[in-house]
Amino acid sequence: MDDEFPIGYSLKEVIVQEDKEFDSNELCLDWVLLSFGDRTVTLKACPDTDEIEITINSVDKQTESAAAGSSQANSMSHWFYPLINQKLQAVWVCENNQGYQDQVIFAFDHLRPSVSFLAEGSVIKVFRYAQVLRNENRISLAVPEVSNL
Amino acid sequence: MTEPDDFQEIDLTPGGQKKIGTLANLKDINLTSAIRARGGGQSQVDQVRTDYQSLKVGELANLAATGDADAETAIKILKQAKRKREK
Repeated sequence: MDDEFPIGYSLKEVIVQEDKEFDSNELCLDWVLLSFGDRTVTLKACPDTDEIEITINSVDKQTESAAAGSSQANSMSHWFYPLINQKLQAVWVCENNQGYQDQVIFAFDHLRPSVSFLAEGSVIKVFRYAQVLRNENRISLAVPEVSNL
Repeated sequence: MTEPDDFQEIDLTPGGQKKIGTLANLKDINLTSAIRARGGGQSQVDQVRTDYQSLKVGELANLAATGDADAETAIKILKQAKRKREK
């Protein structure tokens, strides 16, 4: 079926169209294509509502054409390298409190969030997940204590 | 309807134009009025940094394009001011 995420497939390539109109150092993408061999997942930002449009399909001439047009942006993307050849385990398609679908989270290798794509400002922004470890709790000691009333 | 004497039209930068999307018609309205016009309420207005609530939408879009995260937040709240559907 074309509308199912390729769960269990290994990530082979990530192709992006980077938006360079903005001045910040944030990575801003018009769209991102995750290739799992013969299956692809494309995420595109909707400028009107800052939602994410998801397209899942088999590789066809349209996506190959899109890939060819973004080779420059692809060569600059390093954030996905650790995910290459990892199996897609789960996907969360998130709807925010206002009812807008503006975030998609992917879990690779394990059933834990690996990377998320959030629509904001007419583009897609990328966030990597890192689990908080026990010894990192020490950081919380730096938070000012609340007085006992 | 005539504009007030101190009315100044906001020129959107290319980046600001992209940030604002199809809401360019709201660029000269202050954010609070724009949020209400799009079906939002006080809670949406309160989410925005206080001193940005009175800025015009176009000004905020231009700021967002420079990497101002608070302006980016304001524009997104405007775009999603109206609850899409009830649970």
